[in-house]
Amino acid sequence: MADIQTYSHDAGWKHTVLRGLLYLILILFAAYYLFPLIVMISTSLKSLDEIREGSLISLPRVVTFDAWNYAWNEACVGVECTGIKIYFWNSVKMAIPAVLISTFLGAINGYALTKWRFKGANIVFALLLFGCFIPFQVVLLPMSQVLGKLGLASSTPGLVLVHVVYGLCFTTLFFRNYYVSIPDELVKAATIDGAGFFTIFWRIILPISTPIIVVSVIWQFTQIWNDFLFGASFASGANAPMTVALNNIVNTTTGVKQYNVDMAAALLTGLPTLLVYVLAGKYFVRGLTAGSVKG
Amino acid sequence: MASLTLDKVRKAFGPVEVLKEINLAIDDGEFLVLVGPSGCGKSTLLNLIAGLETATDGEIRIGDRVINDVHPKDRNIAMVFQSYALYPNMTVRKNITFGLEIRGVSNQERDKAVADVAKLLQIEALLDRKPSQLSGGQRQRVAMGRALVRDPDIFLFDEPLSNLDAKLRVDMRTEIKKLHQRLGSTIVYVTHDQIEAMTLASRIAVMKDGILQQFDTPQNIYERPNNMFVAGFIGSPSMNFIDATLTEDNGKLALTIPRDGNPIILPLFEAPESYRGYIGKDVVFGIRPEALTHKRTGSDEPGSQYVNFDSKVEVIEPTGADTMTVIEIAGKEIVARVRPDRQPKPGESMTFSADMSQISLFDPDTELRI
Amino acid sequence: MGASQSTESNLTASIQRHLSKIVVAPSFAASLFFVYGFILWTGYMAFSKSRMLPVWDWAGLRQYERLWQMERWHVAIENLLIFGGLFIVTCLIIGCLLAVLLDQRIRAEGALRTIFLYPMALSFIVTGTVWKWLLNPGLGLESMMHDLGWTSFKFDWLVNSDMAIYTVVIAAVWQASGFVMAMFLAALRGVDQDIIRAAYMDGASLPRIYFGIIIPSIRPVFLSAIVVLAHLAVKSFDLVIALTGGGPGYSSDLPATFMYTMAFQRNQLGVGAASAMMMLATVMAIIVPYLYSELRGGKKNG
Repeated sequence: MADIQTYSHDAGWKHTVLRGLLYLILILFAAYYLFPLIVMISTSLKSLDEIREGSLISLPRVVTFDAWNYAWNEACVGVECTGIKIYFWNSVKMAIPAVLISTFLGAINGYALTKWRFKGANIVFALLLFGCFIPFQVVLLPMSQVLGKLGLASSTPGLVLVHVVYGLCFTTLFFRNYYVSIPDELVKAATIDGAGFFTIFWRIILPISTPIIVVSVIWQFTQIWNDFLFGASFASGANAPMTVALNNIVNTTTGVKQYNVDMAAALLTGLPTLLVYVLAGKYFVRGLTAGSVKG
Repeated sequence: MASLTLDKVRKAFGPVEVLKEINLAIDDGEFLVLVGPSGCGKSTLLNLIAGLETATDGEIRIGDRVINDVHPKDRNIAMVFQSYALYPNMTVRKNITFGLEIRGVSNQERDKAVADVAKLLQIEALLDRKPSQLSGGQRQRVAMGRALVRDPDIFLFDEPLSNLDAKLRVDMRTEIKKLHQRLGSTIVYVTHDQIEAMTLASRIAVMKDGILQQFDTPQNIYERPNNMFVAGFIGSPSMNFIDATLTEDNGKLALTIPRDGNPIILPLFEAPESYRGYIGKDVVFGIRPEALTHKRTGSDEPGSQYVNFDSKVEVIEPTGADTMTVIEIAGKEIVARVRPDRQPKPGESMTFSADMSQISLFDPDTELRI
Repeated sequence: MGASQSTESNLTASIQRHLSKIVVAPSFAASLFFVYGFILWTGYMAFSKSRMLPVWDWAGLRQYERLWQMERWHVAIENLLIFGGLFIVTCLIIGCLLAVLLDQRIRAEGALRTIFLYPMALSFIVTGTVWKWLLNPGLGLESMMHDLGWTSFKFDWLVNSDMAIYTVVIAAVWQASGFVMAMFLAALRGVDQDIIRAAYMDGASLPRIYFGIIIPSIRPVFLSAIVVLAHLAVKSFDLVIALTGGGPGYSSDLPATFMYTMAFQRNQLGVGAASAMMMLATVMAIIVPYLYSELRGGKKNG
């Protein structure tokens, strides 16, 4: 850290002014980042009348959870007006298996590629990794055809398949980079002790993989829960994930625009990942920086 | 416990030959040390014996059994690694019994085995701790416990003391030696430290670039090194090498070392047949620092193995027990070992005695012992 | 005593080695099929006559020609350049600035970092929805400014075809700049302290230390950030859909939304496929040289 306190040649009051300026700028930025969230919450707690009469930044005079209730139970997605809760559960049913399967596969792939290297392992890894970078537009058309042929069109299992396939590259990357720094001697010792490929994985490698499992789960959950493209392309009907439903609620202009409901629905959609972030944020950051900076 | 035989063993990784025809045989109960600089192939050889790599050619036998194609777990060997390789998520107890558990050994037998080994290595108090809670020396012991509990035919050690600090290293070295005396086990031990090799081994295999340079007892390797590499590798401070010419004067052989018009002439004490072919030729004269000392009593007598000569002292390095004295001969820096009470001042000239019964001569081209 | 040949006849070891391949095979096969196979598939579709349904008749470059003749595609490309450029530059500046400020041993650093980064945890749809409300002409920012007294403030960018794309920039920067900050902060913290101390003893002022030494030494992170941001920009779909729907009209279209519209709504599979291939080519042009230089110049681990 090169900071003002240690490395500034200025003394006394000039230093304090600079420091004050520093905090001011940071607080302004914090306000900029928090502002939309605050407005979102505040708007969702107002009645429509208050929204129209009041101002964007005014806090609700009367706090009402009507909009939340409406969004959850009665909002119209397409022709169905049963609220966003169905789609919440759709997202849950899609995310949990996808996260678990892609994480597991990533782990065992990473393990095999680093501790039981075979000829061409590097090429396999490179090819796998490359898949992380493609724009998904280029697989949408074939995927919808394949899903149709498999009878998985517009279904949750179909979405799970898609997310697993395209999440594999990230999870494999995470685990592979983590396992590279686990000493090979551990595997050698276990081999001499008589343990085989899978025994070593279950009893020695997995138990010490907790940090990276957490990173992988959080990263995958965030990506999958927040996804819209795949959901909109492959499951836009009754099995749509929450993000697709949200967009539907907000952008279908039947009748009066209910901004408070829109905000409530948006909050409901954003809460799970936001919660995960607040509770386990540092793992999230680790995932972001490990995945992208290392490349 | 069993004997170990390596018969024309070769190992190549693709085009690279890491081990070039190794022939070794040790008896039951021997302590074999594989020693050499990094990259000499000693760890690869150990891996071959363990079964972690497969030999490209040749046979490896434990006792009478050819084990080339036998899985490590069926070879009845145990290995102690440089980094100990303790399973981080298991207690010390579980670390030690993991192998037994895989083999289906019963609970009672396992408990007894752990208790015995823990007592032997004095790690009873540590049994319920995890590796992260142990010091380096304690981890080392647990790693040895894991190996001991298998009661193998052969113990393999892969540089087990490299990660310890100097004092601990000396203590653990003694422990390993005591264990060997007590158990009489067959051990193959890899190290790059020649002091460990000398102190622990019943026989040493010196390796360089995948070739076995010399396989003999420590004392023989020390006193009669096969070539210049072995001579320079074993012994600290290392052997001095001086270019000289083998001359004959009235039937007596001597070494003539050029020195600015005033050559040093060192008559030989022994003259084996092999020297005959080198009369008049250049040779490399090898003499260890402890054979080059201050003037010895009796060195002026005829027939003495000591030959005296004078030289100017460049640097002195007192070590407490001796003083290493650096002199210059024929452009090279030569180390002599001098008693502290006789130590010279730098720049002074002093008389040195060379013990000519303890020298080695080498062919300057092949670097082999003459 | 015969010498045994090196057959990999150590049965168990051989099975183990193959086991490793067997385990990785499904993922590898999936990757081959679902990534590379699909790319070829889409590529072929772009060369076919497909419109509403995929058809296998060869059409040469006709779909690409049609693509490039569409004004909507040109708008999308132009938008991508505007959006991408502004997005990347703004994120870099803000990210770098915030990282430098946070590096100053701030008291509430953890809390501030959490605040700066949380937008990245939200779905782009959520972000788009919120900003759509914030920038709502009439009820959003505009009305707020009016209430605060600035009655002549006008902010109708959302419905203004010339300005709509800039709203996307605003929302995207809000979402992603925290992440850039996190990357830079990590890099700043990794700079060798001794270099800074040497410069300090030489009498360099703090700004000089930052601009002359520290920031140049984290140049690789700049590159990483640009690559990640560019990648995000090219893929931007969710945000546009939620914020502007591509509109008004198609004035805020980006290649990603263009592709989706053509393929799934306009029954123009061939053109959609062609646009997807163009997107792929663009991303490759950025990623491949970057990866190549990383792997060659940096670590070569197995």
